[in-house]
Amino acid sequence: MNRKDAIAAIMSTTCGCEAVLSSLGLISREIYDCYDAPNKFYVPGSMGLVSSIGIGLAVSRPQTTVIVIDGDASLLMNLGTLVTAVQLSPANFLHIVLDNGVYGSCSEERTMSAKANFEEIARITGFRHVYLVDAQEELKAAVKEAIGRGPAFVRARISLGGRRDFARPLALEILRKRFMDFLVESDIVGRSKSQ
Amino acid sequence: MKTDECNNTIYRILHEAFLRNQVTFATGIPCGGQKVIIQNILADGRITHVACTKESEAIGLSAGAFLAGRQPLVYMQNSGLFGCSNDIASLLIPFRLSILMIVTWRGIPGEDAPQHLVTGSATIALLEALGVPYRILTIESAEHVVDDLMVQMRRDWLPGALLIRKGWER
Repeated sequence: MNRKDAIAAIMSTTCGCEAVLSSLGLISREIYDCYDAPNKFYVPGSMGLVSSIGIGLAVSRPQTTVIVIDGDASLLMNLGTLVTAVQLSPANFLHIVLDNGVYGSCSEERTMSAKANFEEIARITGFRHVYLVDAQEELKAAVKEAIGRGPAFVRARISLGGRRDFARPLALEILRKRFMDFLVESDIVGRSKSQ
Repeated sequence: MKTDECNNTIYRILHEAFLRNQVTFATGIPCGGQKVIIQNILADGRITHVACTKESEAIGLSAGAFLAGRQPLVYMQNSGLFGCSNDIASLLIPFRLSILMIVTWRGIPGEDAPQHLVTGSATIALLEALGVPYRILTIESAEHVVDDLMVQMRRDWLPGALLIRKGWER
C-alpha cells in the first residue's frame, strides 16, 4: 500500500458527506488532483496544523464527521495535538496518519516515525479507538469502524513511490469559501433528510 | 479610580466587545497580563473555550472554528506571536481567516525581563511585515478598539491583533 492506495482506500470508504482535511505536500496534492470536491480542505502551509484545524472544526460542528489525513513528519511537528484531541474528545473526529517514514514531499529524508510508536502514544493518551494498518482492506475496515466513534486514530504504514506531478491547490480563498459553503449546505441537506 | 477598579472596568468593556462581535470560540496560551480577560472568557458559557499546547495549535484550532462559521479569539503573549508567525502567514492570511488575536505586549520600555526585550522591540515590525492589522489598547480607546479592529479585519478578510502593553496601566 503506497500513498495512492491509502488515499484510494479512504476515499472509497467515505460517502462525500464528511469534511476531509489533508496535510501539506503530496498528500494534499494527490487528493486535490484526483478527488477534488467541496468537502475537501487542503492545508498547503502551516506544517503540522491540519489536525488542529480538524479538532477546531469537529468541536465547533459535532454534526459533521471530520477526517484528517496527516503525514508522519507533520504529526511529529505537532504531537501535542493528540493530547488536545483527547482533552476535547470529539466523537466525530478521525485522525489518519499516512506514515511512510520520510519527508516524502522533499527528497525522502527519513523522519523519526519508525520509533515514535504513534499508535501507542494515541492509545496511552486516551483515544477511544486506535488502529495500526498496513493494507488497503485493513484501512477501509478501520475507517468504516472509526467514523462516529472518535476520537479515533489510524496509523497507516505506507510504502514509498507514486506520482509526484500533481497540480497544486492555488486558489486558497476560493477553496475555503467552497468548503464553508459545503458545511452550511450539509446542514440544509441534513435538516431536509430528518424532516 | 483606583488601578484595579479601572482595569476591571476595561476588562468588562473588552469582554462585552468580544460578545458584540460574535466571539463564540476562544483558545490560546495564558499570559499573566491577561488574567482577567481569560477568567471572563472561562466564566462565560456563550464562549466555547478550548485548551491547547502552544500558540501554533491555537491558530490551527481557531482556523477550524472559523471554517465552522464561528468567530474565534486567540489569546497569547507576543513571545507566542513570534512562535506562530508562520501559521498566521501561511494559514490565516492566504485563506483569509479573520481571527481576533489578543496579544500581551511584553518587552516595552520599563520591562525588566531580558528575554522579552528583542521580541518586544520587534512586535510592531512583525505585525506590519505580515500585513496584520493591529490596535494598541489604551484607556481612551478601550470602548471602541475591538469594534474598530474587527471592522477592518472583516472588511479585508485578515486576522488582527489587539496589543495589550504589559504594565500599561502604570
